[in-house]
Amino acid sequence: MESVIFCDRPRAQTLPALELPMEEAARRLGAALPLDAQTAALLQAVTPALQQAAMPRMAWASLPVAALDDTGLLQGTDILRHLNGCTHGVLLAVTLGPQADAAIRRAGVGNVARLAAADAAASALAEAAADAAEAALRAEFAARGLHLTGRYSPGYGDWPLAVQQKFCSLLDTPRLLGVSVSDADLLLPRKSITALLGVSNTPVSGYRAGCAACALRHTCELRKRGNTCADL
Amino acid sequence: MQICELFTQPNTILLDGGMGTMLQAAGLAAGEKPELLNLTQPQLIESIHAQYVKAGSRIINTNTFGASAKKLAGSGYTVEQVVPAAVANARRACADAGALVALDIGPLGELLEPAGTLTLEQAVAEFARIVRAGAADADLVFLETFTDLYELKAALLAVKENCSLPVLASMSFEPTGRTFTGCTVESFAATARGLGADAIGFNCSLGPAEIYPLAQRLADALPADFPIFVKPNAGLPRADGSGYDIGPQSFALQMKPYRSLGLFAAGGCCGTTPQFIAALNKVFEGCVPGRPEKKAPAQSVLCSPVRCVTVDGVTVVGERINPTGKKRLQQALREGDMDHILALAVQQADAGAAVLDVNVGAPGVNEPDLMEAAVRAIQSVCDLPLQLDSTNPAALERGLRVYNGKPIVNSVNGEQAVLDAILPLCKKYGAAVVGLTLDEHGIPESAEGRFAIAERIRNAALAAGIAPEDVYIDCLTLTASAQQQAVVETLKALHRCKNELGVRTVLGVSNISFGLPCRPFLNTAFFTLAMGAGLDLAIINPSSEEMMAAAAAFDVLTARDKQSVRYIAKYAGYTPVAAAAPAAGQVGGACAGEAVGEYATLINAVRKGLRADTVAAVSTLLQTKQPLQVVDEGLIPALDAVGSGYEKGTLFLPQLLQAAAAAQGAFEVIRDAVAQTGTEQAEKGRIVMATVKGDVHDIGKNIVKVILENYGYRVTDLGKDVPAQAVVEAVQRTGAALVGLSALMTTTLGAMEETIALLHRECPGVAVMVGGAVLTPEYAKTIGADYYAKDAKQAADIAKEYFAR
Repeated sequence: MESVIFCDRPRAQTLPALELPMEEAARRLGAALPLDAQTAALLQAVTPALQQAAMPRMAWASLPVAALDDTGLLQGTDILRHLNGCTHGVLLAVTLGPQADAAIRRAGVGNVARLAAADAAASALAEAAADAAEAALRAEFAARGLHLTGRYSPGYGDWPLAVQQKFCSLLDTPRLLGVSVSDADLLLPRKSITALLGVSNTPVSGYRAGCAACALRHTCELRKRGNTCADL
Repeated sequence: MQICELFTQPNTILLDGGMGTMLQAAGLAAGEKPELLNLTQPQLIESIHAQYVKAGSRIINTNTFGASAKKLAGSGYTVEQVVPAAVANARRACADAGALVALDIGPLGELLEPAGTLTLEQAVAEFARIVRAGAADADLVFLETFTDLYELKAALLAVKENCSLPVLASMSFEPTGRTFTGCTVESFAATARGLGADAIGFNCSLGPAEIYPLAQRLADALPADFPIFVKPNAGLPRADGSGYDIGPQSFALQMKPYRSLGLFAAGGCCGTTPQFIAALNKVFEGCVPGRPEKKAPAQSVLCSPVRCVTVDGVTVVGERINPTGKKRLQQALREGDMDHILALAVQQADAGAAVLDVNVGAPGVNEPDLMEAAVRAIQSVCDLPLQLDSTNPAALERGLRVYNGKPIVNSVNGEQAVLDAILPLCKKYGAAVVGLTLDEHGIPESAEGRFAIAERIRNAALAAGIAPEDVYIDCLTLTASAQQQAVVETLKALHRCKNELGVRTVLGVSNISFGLPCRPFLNTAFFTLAMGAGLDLAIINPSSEEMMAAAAAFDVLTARDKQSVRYIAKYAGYTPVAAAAPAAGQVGGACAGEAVGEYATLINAVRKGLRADTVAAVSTLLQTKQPLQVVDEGLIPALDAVGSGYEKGTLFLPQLLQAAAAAQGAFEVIRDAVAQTGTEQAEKGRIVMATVKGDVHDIGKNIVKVILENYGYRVTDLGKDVPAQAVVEAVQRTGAALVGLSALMTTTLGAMEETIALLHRECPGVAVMVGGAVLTPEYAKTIGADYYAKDAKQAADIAKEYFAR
């Protein structure tokens, strides 16, 4: 039987209401920038209902890297490189809640443009929620005189999606956030994000696996335009 | 205490406190499964139970919170091993003091549809397994820490269908007064009570001080004698994560206000220990369960998880999901086309309906299947409570079973066989019910005759265990053109039923004007008379301005809308739609590059993604042209132009999508036109589409589907998370020649490969095209796909090429 020693036991908190990052939403919708007025209007039309439906929440916990490794969570080499120089890891999960999924479905009834726009806007909101959660964690750890790497999520590089199940059970996300993992390792509700951040005594940047290891390398629109998601 | 005395105790009884907290103190590490300790360390578990009994707990919850098959998977133990052992441990600890053993059941940790993939029936089966493993030796069942009302429904059904023990139902709320899934306190109360919970309460998530205002709302939402309980945490989690912030004495202090709520039982959850429970003995000394009878009569509520509608005054029920006289809806029902039904649902919700009527009884359809499908589909996009409208008990049961919340059934009538068939369903699934004042002899002409039937229906409903506030009577609107004298009889009967029987009333209002011109004039006048006579549920078209205005005006004139606040908010600065409507088809003009000719207006509107203008242009064209002609000569060239701009990189996905949405709006009008002529729509080929098993990302698939439909293909959409076998069956059923599969994640590409293999084996000659973020042309070939489509435009090109062969 496994046993895990947490430094910070799993806990949840509500995140403040989020503004829609319009450019990020537009990018996810596949729009060209600068944004044309009609597409901006489309995104603005679907956003209020989404913002009303979303209940952004985060859960997190921290534990020593060695303890993390003992759980079997650190599969592959990329995540280990990300944690290079770190003593601890922070497990983070963020969700907009199931009502956001319902709002996307409703926006899409009979109108495929609104469907895609609501989905893109919700993804951008989830990313904004993760940014807000990360900022809160940075402040928390800075107060302890510690530094954090960026977020590294299951599915990046060679860190398999298959770790989602273990990740969420360690962080107790079904109880703390209502986030569960499907048999195909997908997070539900859909607009949920998990990520691991390294904790270090000295400033750290972490490691980005880069395009070579990415599952989307052949179809990525950003890459076709000569950018990477690290540039955003 | 004997179990039969549970709800007649003279004093608030004590429940137990935290189990996990005690186990952690005893050295359980995070990540260990506490349920296994029932078998590996039974003495430890028994001793914790015994400490609670000694502290005064009269009900002990078994250590089975996470004892579901899925959570135990990989542990080496089964539900049937863990649960009986847990019950035995609790029983030994309870025996001497005569405390009761509650079989504890928590959530499954999987998300139910529509947000997740677990179906209601799968959840019922998982819970049923726990109930069957533990009920024989337990005294009652305790459902706790639920955050999803639908999952709680599954658990309550499993309990009721597999044992006869009393059941306590408890959910965990956030400080916002909602659960994670958005469920309100009032929806929880109405639904759990309707499904047969014997007591309702809160546990976990918050401390006593934070739960108190929620408990007050719960008490307000339930009858004065309905048992309620709380099991709060030991305050809130400390900021440093080291535990909870209040001790036994503060806990006791914060529990004192609950005396005024007349709790049936009280205990603790996370962070509480036997010391906390012991401190409650004094708090609840002499506290008598129950609350003073309310002065106001009980309210009738209908609800979905996130919206609770109190039927107090005139409440609008949207009438439009009813195929009677609607050819387009009949056709959609025959084809199983849920999109049209969803559009009707959303339109009516946007127009201000409070409840939606759902009638899928078109000729030649499988009504039970359709009722289930429609209820699930509508509830996935719309949070209004539903009125399940059918005379077919099998259809009603299918709808009631999958409904999330408390619905209303329309209808029973005075015929004994009907009452016998349908009232027990309403009771089992906790629905309100509409009774029509007719029986095997027809509709009585006089008010007295209808009143007599109403009384019979009300008595039968009460005898079936339905609460008096949930009985609604429909005195039947007859058409004024045929039975002019009957109008006043309907109003008289309504008035008497409301005042003498104390029931709520219903009328399908629009029937009054059948066969006469300018129907809204008559409808509005009759509606106003009916409201004056005491109408509660008005089944009307909420898109009718006159009708909605009549209801709003009625609320002002009867002082329900205090200070006319709602009326002013709605109508200040208002311009009637008829006066404000722009002339149809105002778009286009002479700027360069625009299409010319008779389709110019349409083509330009589609190219610009202007949906309203596109719809208007199509409506104009349909006055002189055949529907298929408009598609071939107008819509498709417009979509081709947009698609080619997208391929060249001069247009981007949002423009393509907005053009597709404009065409989608046009197709609604075209399908209406086709349905009016009664002919089948000519089609260019049949395609089955699905997001493969395990994958729930269906946005891309939905976009492709709309674009294929815009090009005139008939698409059977199987949705998301679709097993391979279901795809094969759909191909065989529809005779589709092309299948489109999507998968977004690397983890679901295996399911895509299996689906392709099964299709090629079972349906030779059928081609498969695939798409999705992680797919490449090479990988598509490797897994046996015939075509790879990188986007929706390419999917349409593939279909065109494939069906041209």
